[in-house]
Formats: sequence, C-alpha cells, structure tokens
Amino acid sequence: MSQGINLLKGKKSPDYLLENTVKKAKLISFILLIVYLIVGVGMLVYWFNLTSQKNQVRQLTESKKQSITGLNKVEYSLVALKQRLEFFQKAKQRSKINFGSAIEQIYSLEIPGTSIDSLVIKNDGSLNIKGKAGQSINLADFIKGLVNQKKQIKKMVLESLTRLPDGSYDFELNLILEQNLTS
Amino acid sequence: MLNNLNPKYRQFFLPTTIFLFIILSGSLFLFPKIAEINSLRQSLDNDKAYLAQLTTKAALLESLDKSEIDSKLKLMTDVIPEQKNPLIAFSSLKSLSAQEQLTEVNISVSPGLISTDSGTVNDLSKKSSSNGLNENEMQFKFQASGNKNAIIETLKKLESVAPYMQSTGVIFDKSQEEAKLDLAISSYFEPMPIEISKIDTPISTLTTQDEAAFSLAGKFQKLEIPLLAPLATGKDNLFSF
Repeated sequence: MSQGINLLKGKKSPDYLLENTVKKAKLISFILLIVYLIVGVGMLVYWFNLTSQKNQVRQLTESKKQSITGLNKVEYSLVALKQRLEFFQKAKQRSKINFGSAIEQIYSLEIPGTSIDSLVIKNDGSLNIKGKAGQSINLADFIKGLVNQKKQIKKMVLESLTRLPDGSYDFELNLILEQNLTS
Repeated sequence: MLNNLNPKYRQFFLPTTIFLFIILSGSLFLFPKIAEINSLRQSLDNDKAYLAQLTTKAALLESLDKSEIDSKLKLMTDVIPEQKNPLIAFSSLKSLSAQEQLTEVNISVSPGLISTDSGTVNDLSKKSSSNGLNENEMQFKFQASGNKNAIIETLKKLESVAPYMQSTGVIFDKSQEEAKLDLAISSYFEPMPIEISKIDTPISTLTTQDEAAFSLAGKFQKLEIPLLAPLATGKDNLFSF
C-alpha cells in the first residue's frame, strides 16, 4: 500500500456565515425598499389629495367671498341697525326716572291742608319738594304718607321748616327716589 | 468596475445600493415632502376654518330679509336720527306741547360741535365718555306753562316720541294758578357706519335684547312735524340775464 500526498486542490468549503449575511442584507434591503416605496407613493398620493383639496377650498372661498360681496347692502343695513339698537339701549339705560310719573305720584300724596308748590327732580333720583302746610298735623300726615312709600323713596330729609305768622308752615324736603321709578 | 470588486464584496453591492438610494432619495425628496405636507395640512385647516366662517356669514346674510331690515332701520333712524339736527327734536317738542295745549315760553338748544376739519360725520360721534353717549347728544332747555295734568302728560309722553328724547332734570312750579315747567332734555343722534367691516368679520343677527329694544322703539309716536315755509330763492345762475 502506497501512501502519498495529494497535492491537488481540494473543493473549497462554502462560507456559510458570509452567505447568511448576504442573504439577510438582501432581504432587509428589499423589505426596506418596498416599505420605502409604499410610504413614498402613499405620501405622494396624500400630497396630491391635499393639493387638490386646497384648490377646491380656495375656489369655494372665492365663491363665498363673491356671494358675501353681493350681499354687502344687507350687511350694511344689519350693521347699521344693530349699531342703532345698541345705542338706543345705552341711551335708554340712562333714563332712570320717568319724571311725569314721579310728579304724578308725589301729587297723589298731597292731602287736604297741604300744597306742593314746586318740585325739582334730577336724573340721579334727587327730588326737592317745596310746599305749604296749613297746620303741623297736615304736614305730619303728608310726611307720614311719603314715609309709607318705602318702595319708591330711598331717603328723605326735612331740609327746612318755617312757621309763618298765620300759623301755617313752609317746608322743604329733599328725597332720593328709587332709580327704577319709571312707568 | 463591478468585476474588479472582490467577489466577497460584490454580493453586498445591491443591498448597499438600495440603502444608499433610500438614504439619498429620503433626504432629498421624502423628508422635504413630509415638511411640505405638514405645512400644507396646516394651511388647509386654516383655509377650511376661514371657509366655514365665510359660509356661516353668507348663509346668515342670505337668510335675512333685506326689506324687513331696511324698514326696521328706517324706524330706528326716526328714533335715533343719523345727523345732529336740532330742528327735528325742536319740531317734535313743539308738536308735543301743542298736542297737550301747553304754552311754550322758550326752547333753547346747544348743539355743540356741528362741523369738523375733515368734514366726516363719524368725527362728530367720537366716543369720549365711558358710555359713549355724550358726544352724540344735544342738550335742550324747554320752558312751558299750562295745566298741571297736561304738563305731567307731556313729561310722560316725552320719552316715547320719535326722535328719542330724555328728560335729565325738571323744575315743576305750581305756586301760581298756571303750572310752569322748566325741563332739561337730551336728544341723541348716531351717524350711519361709513363702511362695513372686513369680509371675514363675523356678524350676528338681532339678539333678544335688540328685538326688545326694537319693539319698544316701535311703540314710539312719530309726531307730525310742522313744515317750514320754503325760503324765497333768487337766480340760480348769476350770469344769465
């Protein structure tokens, strides 16, 4: 039996590690490419969609603008009307006392033996009454009548009282009326 | 060139190219597109909100009846005139006192500012006071005499006639047989808006408060204003014979 050295080149064993790595790299790169392409195409579609929506919205906006411009006169009238109504409400809020009703109410409290000569009423609710009373009892009754008007009168001050030679009285009263004395 | 590569590395050529392609095209195309899409979406949202605003406004304006608004505006202009015209309030006061058979003693008016440098109406209505009324107000003094009840009736009616007037102070004297009235009155005016707001400014219809104010103003009595005799006029053209 003869022994010898085989000098012929043997078959190279395959590099499994390299092959595996190459396969993995190819697979990953293909998957990534597919995902990338899907995302890219999706984004393009989305972009086109947004652009067309934007154009549509722009066209609609223009048409709405035109229709609003066409209704300018209605808008002007409405704005003017609202402005006037607001102004009127503000002005009306200023009017706190109806002077006619206030005078009528004060005169309704006049009793026999007393007379109211003058009334001064201001918009802030202050009321000055000057009058005459035949006797002190008449004046007392008149003041009592005023005192009973608690809802209408906030405050009352007997400013002056003068006894005249004939036994009658001149009196002056200052009152603060409730601000809602309107009718 | 590919053939010169080591066969070991040649196998990585395709994956590498794909990675490079993804990175390059991503940074050149995809990422800028993402930013563009974001800003586009934001601007589209804004545009949609703007469109919704315009649609609401247009629908509101279309739903309004112009003739109804105009007639309401006309009524309110009778109540709150658009110009500072003392004569209207003056005539109204005269009619009211005539109706109640009062003897007028005196009517005086202080119209205040009636002209501006610019000549624009709105300058006359600059709101300087807190409630914005003082500059749109004219003060009157009205003195009259007559029956006590007629005076009371006049005072009651005064605040429900058009143009709107308001008593701000009263001196009522009944020391003599005939009662005397010394009244301070405010009358108001409000110029029409010169222009309407921007196209996208929202508008609102009349609120319940506005409707209530309108129904109150609708009850105001419009007094017959005595017509003044026309003035005799001369030639229109000075150069004609």
